Amino acid sequence: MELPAVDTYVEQDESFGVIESTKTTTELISPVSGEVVVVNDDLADDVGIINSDPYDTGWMIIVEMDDPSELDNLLDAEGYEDFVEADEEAD
Amino acid sequence: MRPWRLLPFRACDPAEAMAVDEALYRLQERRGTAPTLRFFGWTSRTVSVGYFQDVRREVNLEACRAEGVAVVRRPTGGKAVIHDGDLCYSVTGRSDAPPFSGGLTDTYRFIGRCLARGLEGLGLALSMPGEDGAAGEVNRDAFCFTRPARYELLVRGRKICGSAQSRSRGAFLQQGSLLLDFRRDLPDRLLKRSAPRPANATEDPVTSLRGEGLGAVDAESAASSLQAGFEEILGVPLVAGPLTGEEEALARELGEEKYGTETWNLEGKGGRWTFET
Repeated sequence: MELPAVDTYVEQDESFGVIESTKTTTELISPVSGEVVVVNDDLADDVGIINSDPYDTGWMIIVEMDDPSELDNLLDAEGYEDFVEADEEAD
Repeated sequence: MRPWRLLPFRACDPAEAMAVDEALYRLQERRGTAPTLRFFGWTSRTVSVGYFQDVRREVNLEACRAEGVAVVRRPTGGKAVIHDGDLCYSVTGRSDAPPFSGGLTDTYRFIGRCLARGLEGLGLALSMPGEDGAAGEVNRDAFCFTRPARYELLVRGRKICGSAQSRSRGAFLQQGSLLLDFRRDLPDRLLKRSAPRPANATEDPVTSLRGEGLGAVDAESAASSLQAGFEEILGVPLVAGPLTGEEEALARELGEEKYGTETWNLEGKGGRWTFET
């Protein structure tokens, strides 16, 4: 996978990186705008933790948010589960 | 369902081949242009590698240089393809709009069925892992055709067409290569970390139209058959149309600043394109 360097500015709804799975590259879309302050280097050793432990060790970047009200545009965990289930049904 | 556009077969140089596909994909993502089926070939023998492939570990650059073989990095994932007697296709569209229904597997399956129907028109009997009880396989080899993934096409259990995708914000690009011919000496010579080919050609896990007795079918005829397969499954004729001015301009820019550079093709740097809107 490809992640931004520390100090990179990311924007809500814009791509900040790329990940590949099953011969498909998918752009990672930033949920918030702000400056990247930490990148999870553990992903370089085992990208699988994104799947196995997404809410704890499987994080990608920490962003210092410009505007916390952007969080209002995001799904919560339950809403995201519904979204993923609908996507799986489509398959 | 929206009408689909057809970009008829044309041979391109390596940078243009990839730049046009990315321009179609980016403008699909940003402007919602028409879903498009494109056919293309290569003006010279080329190795294309997947987005994240390590070129220095997996491609024999010395041999490529000595033989005048170009190396270009694709926007899509997957492994290396040797473009020498193949027909390439791409499909750009939105995965969340009919005939697609959102999921990744769904797009591979739908396009796989269209391709299979087209090849059946040439008299081939196709199978697709994922649809025929067989599972897809994980390919750890440098060469795309060594193992079939789900919804890739097999003839008599041997891979004839490989595909890969790129996705962003509901838009997708699927690129694929149909082997019209397969030179068995090339993977060993041009790639590293590619499994040795079996001594006996009949045991090779790769086949081609020529290998199936269809050596007289050229790229344009094969493209016509595949087009017919898409039209039959979609239920609508494809409308041949040129690139838009914006697509042409973006393709030119991507050709010069990304796919024509060693920074991207060999180092894999600068893959994400920042759109000026």
